[in-house]
Amino acid sequence: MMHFLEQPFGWSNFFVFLLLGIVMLLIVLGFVTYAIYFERKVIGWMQFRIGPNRTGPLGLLQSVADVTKLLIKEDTIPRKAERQLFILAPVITFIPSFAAIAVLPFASNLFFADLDVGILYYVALSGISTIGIVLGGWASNNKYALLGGMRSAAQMISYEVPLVISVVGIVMMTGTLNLRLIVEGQAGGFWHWNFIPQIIGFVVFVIAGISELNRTPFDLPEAESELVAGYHVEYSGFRFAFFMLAEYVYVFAIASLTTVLFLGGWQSPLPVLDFIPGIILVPAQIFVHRLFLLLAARDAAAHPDRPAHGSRLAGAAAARDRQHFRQRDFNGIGGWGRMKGIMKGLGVTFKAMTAKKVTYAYPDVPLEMPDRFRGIQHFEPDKCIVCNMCAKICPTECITLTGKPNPDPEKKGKVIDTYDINFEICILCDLCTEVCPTEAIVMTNNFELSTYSRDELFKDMKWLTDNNENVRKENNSAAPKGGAKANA
Amino acid sequence: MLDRLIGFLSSGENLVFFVFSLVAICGAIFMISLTRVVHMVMALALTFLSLGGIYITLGAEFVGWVQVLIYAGAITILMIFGIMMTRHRGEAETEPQRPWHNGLLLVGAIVLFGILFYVIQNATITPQSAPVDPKDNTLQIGQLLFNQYVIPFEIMSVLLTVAFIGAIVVAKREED
Amino acid sequence: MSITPYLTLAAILFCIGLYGALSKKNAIIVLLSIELMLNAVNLNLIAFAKYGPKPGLAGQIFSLFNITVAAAEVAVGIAILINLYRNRGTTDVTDMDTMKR
Repeated sequence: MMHFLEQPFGWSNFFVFLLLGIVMLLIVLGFVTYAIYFERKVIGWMQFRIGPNRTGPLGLLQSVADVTKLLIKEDTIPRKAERQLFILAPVITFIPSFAAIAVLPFASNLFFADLDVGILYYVALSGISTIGIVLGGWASNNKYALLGGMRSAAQMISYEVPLVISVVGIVMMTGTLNLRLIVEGQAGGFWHWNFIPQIIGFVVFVIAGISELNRTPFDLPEAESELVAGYHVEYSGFRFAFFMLAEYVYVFAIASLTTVLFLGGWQSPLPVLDFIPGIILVPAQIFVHRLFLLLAARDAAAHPDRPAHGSRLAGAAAARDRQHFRQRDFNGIGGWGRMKGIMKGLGVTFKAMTAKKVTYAYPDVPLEMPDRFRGIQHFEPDKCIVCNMCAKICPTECITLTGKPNPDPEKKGKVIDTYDINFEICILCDLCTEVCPTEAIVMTNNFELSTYSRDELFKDMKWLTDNNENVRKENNSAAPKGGAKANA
Repeated sequence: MLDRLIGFLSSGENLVFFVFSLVAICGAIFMISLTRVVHMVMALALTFLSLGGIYITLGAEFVGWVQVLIYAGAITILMIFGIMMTRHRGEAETEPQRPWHNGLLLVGAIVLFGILFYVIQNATITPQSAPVDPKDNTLQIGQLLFNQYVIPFEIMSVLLTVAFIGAIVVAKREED
Repeated sequence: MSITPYLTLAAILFCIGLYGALSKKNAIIVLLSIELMLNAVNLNLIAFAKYGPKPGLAGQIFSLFNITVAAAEVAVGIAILINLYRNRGTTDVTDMDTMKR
């Protein structure tokens, strides 16, 4: 990369950098997609749920589907919004977030820019993103959006100060703002990494980083209980996608920045491990930080409103904790109580992660139905004697049947000709199976009836005969079981 | 005239300067002519950004990014905060009710520009040495700040502290 | 590239800033115009640091100080404005004339 950077700038260089930029954009988009997937999965585990599992194997394509949906959604702009700024705001937020990545070095020979002012460049660009956020909130013409935008801007600007000051120690130790040189100064095992001499700076940086990203417990700008969703409440479709994208790109950027500044970048932790190429180490560390960010911040486990049976406990603990935080933050009191709260919340989260899930993996695993479950009927024409009992007893008159003379001339009676059940009105009351003397009509444990047309709900004999899976074992033939009769 | 313009724009540095200065002047003029205050602040943010770009082409990498950080980032947001805390929406900047005043001002500003332009065109400024190498610009600035300019630097930090405390004291509600 | 285009650009920006500072009635815009004038001065300083008679870093350092002072000025200015708005309910500079009456 140095080779390209030192050449005079020309068309060939331009195309090389354009190509690299596009590749980087794709990598970051991939990261964002799977960061969201990962986050949702982990939140699911914290709340005794499974998480996304429907789209693609293991739900891996869920975020892709979500993004596609956002991109093709109708683009709504509120009528009273400030139109131009409303359109401009997501762009102002996103462009700096992606531009800030340019300065991050990924390996000793893989970096996109070798700036002498690396850290300053990052901080300056992330400051511009804040303008987009506060503008988006203002242009929406919505008081919740405005409050969310103001809170966001206030928080991002105020935490940018500790974020920068925590790095000053490293800058003074290394004598440069260049991120590549900062990593090169940390060679030779993890005891040379900056987080040991700069442990206070490291802790401050991580905390300020979490708050820059508006993550729990610093999610005041998006406080759902009082502000709906913060500055982007009026945004939908791809504009909203841009805001979300910018947020997750900053997650990527802060995680990589932590790696580069404090945790040795591509330098291997032990000299023995030198054979591992640096290009693997950086993503691995980014992943670890992502995990940390998620767990330490307990993220959306602090959403007690999400529907899950078992999440009450985790949710309540987290919500109480968040409340606690908020009050403390504004009162200016901190200390041990806050730390205890965080630890307690973390404890609940970890316990919940390994507990048994309460969600059903339906339909991959069929649901276990109770013995007397009343599902869709199964019909066996051979058993039917065309006694018409079922049609007579049906309270909704959904059964229609016709018989014909027995084709075998030696036998008396009729055989069934047509047998239809209209499931549009059938109430699955079980009376037809109760009344059938030959068990020609029995119930199954199947219940899925959804179709795209009402006409398809009109099931004929063939369909009912083929519906022969999960046939209920207990029907009315045996002696009365259980319930009041047995006791009487 | 056209030949000179094409000749001027054929060099990369000149082209970058031309684009940035065009954006800067447009931003400044929009700041004067737009009617809504938030739009004015955004226009000026554009000017600040392109001035940062010009600083970087002038070899002042550090000052350029500081400009982006302080002006385009912090000061713009501070201004937007000021707008949101003082003004109510819907109140556009009304037409000036003092046409004489503004007309005279315009004439005065143009005359001032004319004088400045005349002086600039007639001045002969010849560098007595080659421009400083922009490499390690940050390092050199740091060394100068902590050696030769350490007293102004410290005074600056005192000034910032005083301004910081003063701003809080002034903006605080009295009943609190 | 000589210093002339930079000085001309700075002069244009300075005059626009001057016009804005004296003609606008909204105090926030007046503050913004003053910032624009300061920026024009910074541009001059940096241009002289590169193409001036004695190239060096002194101009850049001076512009850094300038930016610092500007930041402090804006912070105090906005604080005064907010306080004034709270007491008088206006941000119009023409209404800020209690000392004259």
